[in-house]
Parts: sequence; structure tokens; C-alpha cells
Amino acid sequence: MGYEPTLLRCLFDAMRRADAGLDAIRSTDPDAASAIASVRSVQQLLNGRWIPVLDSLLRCRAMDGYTRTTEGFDDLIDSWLASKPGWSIWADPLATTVDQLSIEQARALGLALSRRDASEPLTNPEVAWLADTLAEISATPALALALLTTLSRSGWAEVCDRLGDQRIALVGERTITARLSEADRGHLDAIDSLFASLAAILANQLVLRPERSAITLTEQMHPYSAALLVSHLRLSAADLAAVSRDLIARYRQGGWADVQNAGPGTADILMQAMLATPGAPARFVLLTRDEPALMLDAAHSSQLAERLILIATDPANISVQEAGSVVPELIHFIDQSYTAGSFYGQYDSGIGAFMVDLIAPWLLQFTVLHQRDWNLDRPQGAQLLAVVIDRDGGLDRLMAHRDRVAAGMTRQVAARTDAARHVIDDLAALLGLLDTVARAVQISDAEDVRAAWDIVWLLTGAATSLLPGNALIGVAVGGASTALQRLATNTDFGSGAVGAVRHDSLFYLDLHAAFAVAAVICARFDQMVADREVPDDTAPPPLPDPASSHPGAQYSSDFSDWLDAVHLGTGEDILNGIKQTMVSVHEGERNAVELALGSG
Amino acid sequence: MPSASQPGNQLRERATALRRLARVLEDADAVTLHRRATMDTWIGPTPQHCHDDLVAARALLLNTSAEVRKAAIRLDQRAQQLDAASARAAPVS
Repeated sequence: MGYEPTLLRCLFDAMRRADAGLDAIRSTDPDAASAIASVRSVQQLLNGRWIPVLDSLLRCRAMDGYTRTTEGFDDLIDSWLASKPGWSIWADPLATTVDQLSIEQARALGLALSRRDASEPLTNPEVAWLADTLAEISATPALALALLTTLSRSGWAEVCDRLGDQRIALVGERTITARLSEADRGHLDAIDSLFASLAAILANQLVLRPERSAITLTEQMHPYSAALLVSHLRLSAADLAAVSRDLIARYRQGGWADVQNAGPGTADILMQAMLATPGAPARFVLLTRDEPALMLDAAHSSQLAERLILIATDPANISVQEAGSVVPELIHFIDQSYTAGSFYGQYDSGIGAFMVDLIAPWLLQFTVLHQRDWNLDRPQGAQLLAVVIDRDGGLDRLMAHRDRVAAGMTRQVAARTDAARHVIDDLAALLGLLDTVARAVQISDAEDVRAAWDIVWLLTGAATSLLPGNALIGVAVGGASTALQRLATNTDFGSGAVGAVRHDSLFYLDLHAAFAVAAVICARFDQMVADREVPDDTAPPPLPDPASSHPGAQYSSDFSDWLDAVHLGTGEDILNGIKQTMVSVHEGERNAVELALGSG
Repeated sequence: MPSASQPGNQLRERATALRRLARVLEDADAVTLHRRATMDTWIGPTPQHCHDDLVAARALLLNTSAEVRKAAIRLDQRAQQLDAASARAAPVS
């Protein structure tokens, strides 16, 4: 128990005056009998109980009974109270003897934390005791509420900042030396436990007082300690993204202890928390789109930041329009600003690969056909794509991410109500785009040839699965498609007969395009046969000729001859339309991109 | 305004005294004692009990005052009834 002697003397005097005042109250009226009885009971409370207690304290009975409760670290409250000028600490005759915390003790702890001398460092044993005590308080809502009635924001912010600084040093040492002493490990665990418990207590306050946002709660704290606290607050995706943006912006102003230290810093902690909160990455990226450095140039781990952005910009988590406000900005930022002179002075050697990952699901939006999706001018899409592809291994990585490209296209096409009507356009535009960028970087070896073929085949398969009728999964279903598949399997795109002209990338791209067109034609034709729109014995569409020196032109000629020979009725118009669409969109895309890139 | 000779006057005097008593209770120093027993003065389980007791004492005194005022109102009403009965019983001149 602690007290301030002067104020206690005032209380004692006031109590005696109050007792005297009550003693003077008298009445003989029978209707006042009950009132007089109440007055006497209050008098009894004062002069029978509390006046003697105060009297005994003020008469300094320390020598004959009261002793200081404990010495040492485990009574943080008393030790802090004792440090207050003019305060005295005595054993409390009414204190509980069991270990369980009381409401009064929780209140007292809050007051002690709020009023402690900021210049006094917390010792390891004190932190351990505080961690245990806060854990107990956080588990009992009544205790948590009692603590919050006396715990000031500046009080716990100061404690958190001090512990945050200690944690930065410990984590830095662990990162560099890969080991920590047992004592330091215990201290680190205690700090983390303390933050978790305090967050659990404060989370109640956010629920009880929703006008207090997480930003308000952390505005007096260092970004690092605030990030630790926030990571345990279990905020909603929107709140977590908002407070993360605020803290990372403050962190990037510089001057904080974790900026130059090894190990996860402010942004790393927040990004980890956002990755664990569904929806938070996308919200964060949208909130910071005008300042890409907050996403890319704040975390100590560039891989972590990039993972967050890739999840945020995945078509499953963001709309086409939202992606259009983020992806181009990021590419511009990386191309123009993300250099060795960035915040950390470090250059991320994997940034080229990241850019490819970033655009892969959105490749369709770089085509001329979809330039309005992102409000890009005619050459902008191709120019942005060139920024990505021109980096080392850009095309290889794009080819390697063909699943992501195909999934992105499929998701976008399937999301439209008129999916079937536009799937051919989309496929053709995408193939035209790939065709052109592939020409620009010169496919020169067998692996590249195979990779380029794989992506064309994969996209074509994905597109045909979305054709009218929706019954086709992949391209090799009916007779015509099976024949095409067999031809593709038997055609060695990396060596052998084709290998003889390996150096001629134009040939491969032409062949790829011819296969893509043929795949769609065959798939649609097989569907017509299955639906009995054309007779079973109708000759199948022609296949590309890998042995031809100009397979595209050859296929076009063969297709026209085939159409003239068969009688498909309205099916003739459909198949001819598909072929013409693919060729014209493909050519149109190629022309636009080549114009923008200055290649041909 | 009741005249000095009205039969309800005694009751009215009691009501006035009760209202005076209620005012004394409300103004008693004991009603504000709890403000001096906060954590600015002392901290711990015993001080908390003291503060709680003083808050309870304040509530008791204020409730008691309210009851006394109600008793005064009842006395006034009875006085009016007595006066009215007396007036009805008096001969018409």
C-alpha cells in the first residue's frame, strides 16, 4: 500500500470534520428517525473504522507493526510508487494473501505504469514479472477493464517503446550471430508475451470505444513497438491496412532504432501480420498505390514485400480496375526510382523476376484490345511490358509462369457475362502480344522454343475450354483436336526437323500461331460434331504443316480450301469468323506492339 | 397562505424542519469525503475499500435526504387535508 502523507492528513482531517458534522445532526421528529439512524451508521463507519485506520497510519506505527511489503523486483507497483517523491509504502492490512490479482491491484498497476519514471530502465526480471501479470490481467475482462481505467496511453507507450528497443537489439544479435544466451531468449519471449497481453487488453478498449482507432492508439509510439502491438491486435483487414500505412510512412521518415538493425523491422512485422489477415494485403496496396515506396522500399526483406504485393494483386483479391491503379504504378516506380540509392541503399536482384510475377495474371490488360481496362494509351501497355521483359530472363520467367498467365486470362474471361463471345478475341490478343515480345527478345535455343510453345498451347487450351457449349475441357477432346494434339506431340519444337531452322524464331512464332488457330478451330469443330450441327463424316479441319517454310500462310490457304470443300451451313461462318478474328486481332496486336517497341 | 390558527400548522412546521434536515444531509461534509480518498492520496486494497465505503456512505446520505423530503411532502398534504376538514366543519356565518 502506498500513500501521500500530506493528502492522507487532509483526508483524515476531513473525515473528522465530517464526523463532527454528522454528530451535530439531530431530530426528534418521528418521521426523521430513519434518517437519523442512517446518519449514525455513517458516523460509525467513519469514527469506528476509517478514522482509526488513518490515525494509526499518521501516528507512524511503522515501528510496531507495519513493514514494507517486499524488497526487490517482484513488487513493481510498490517499487515504482516508492520512487515517487513524497510517497511512502507500507504493508496493507487488508491485502489478499493469495496470489490472485485483485481489481485494486490491476488499477494500481495501471497507475504505476502511467506514472513511472521514464528514465528508469526496466530490468529483465521486472519485464518477466510484468509479462506474467499482464497475461493474467488479459485473461480476465474485469481486471483488464480495471487496468485501463488508470493506465494512460503515454504510460504504456513509453513502456512499449523501451521494450521495443530492447527487442530490436536482441533480434539483431540473433540475426547476426544466429544464437542468443538462455537469459536473452527468455527476455525476448517475455517481451513478446508482454506485447501480446497488452494487445489483448487494448483490443477490448477498441471494442468498447470504437471511436478510438488503432492509429489513435499508436500515434504516440515508436513505429517498431507500435507494429509489434498492432500485430497482436487482431484488427480487421481495413483497420490493419490503414494503421500499417500510417506506421510505415512514419518509419520511412527515418531515425528509428530498427532502420539499420538486422532482423525484421517495422514494415516486416506489419507485412507479416497483413499476410496472416485475409484481405489486408489488397487493402494495404490500394491505400499505398500513390506511394509505391511504402510497399517496396520499407521492409528489410524484399521477398516479404514482394510476396505481399503479389498476393494483393492476385486477380482473386483485386478487381481489374483496382489492379490498373496499382500494377502500372509499381512498374513505373521500379523502372524509374528503385535503384541503389533507395531507402536502404540495397538493390534487390530479384526485382526483375518480381515484375514478371506481378504482370503474369494481368497480361491481357497489356494488349491493345484491353488497354481501356487500365486507361492506358495505345503504346503504354507495350512499353510497360517491355520494361518487364527487357530485364534479364524476363521472357523466360514469363514463359515459366504460363500457368499464372493462363489462370489470369481464364479468371477474367470467365468473370464476364459474355465470356464466350470474347474469349477468341482475348486469346488472339494475348498470343499476338506474346508473339511480339518473343520476337523482340529473339528466341534462340531449344528450351526457349519449347517454353514458347508450352505457353501458347496452355493458353489455347484454357481459351477453348470457355468456348460456347462449355463442354470442352482442354483441346484434345474430339477427333480433330486429337489429331492436332498428336501432331503437336510428334512435332519436335526444340530439335530434329524443326531444329534445322532453330535460329529462325519467326518460323516458330508463325508455327505457334498456326497451331493456336488450328486448336481453336478444331475444338469448335468437334463441338459442332458432338452437337450434330454437322454430319459425323465431315472432313476435319486442316492441321498446320511444321514442314512448311511458312506454316501460318500455308495453314490459312489450307483452311480456305477446306471451307470451300465442306458444307457446314452456318457452321462455316462460325469457323471462318474464328479464324479471321484470331488472325486479325493477332496481327493487329503485333502491329501495335511492334510500333510501340520500334521492332519489326 | 394558512393563518396562524389553522389546525394543520403544526404539521407544516414539522415539514419545514424535515426539509431543513434534508438540506443539512445534502450539505454534509461526509457526502464529498470520497473525493479525498482517491488514488492521488493512497493506493492499495485498504484505500480501495475506504473509497468504496465513502461512496456508499454518500449514496446513503443522499437517499436518506430524498426520503426525508418525501416525508415533508406527506406532512404538507396532511396539513392541507386537516385545514380543509376544519373549514367544512366551521359554521357558515
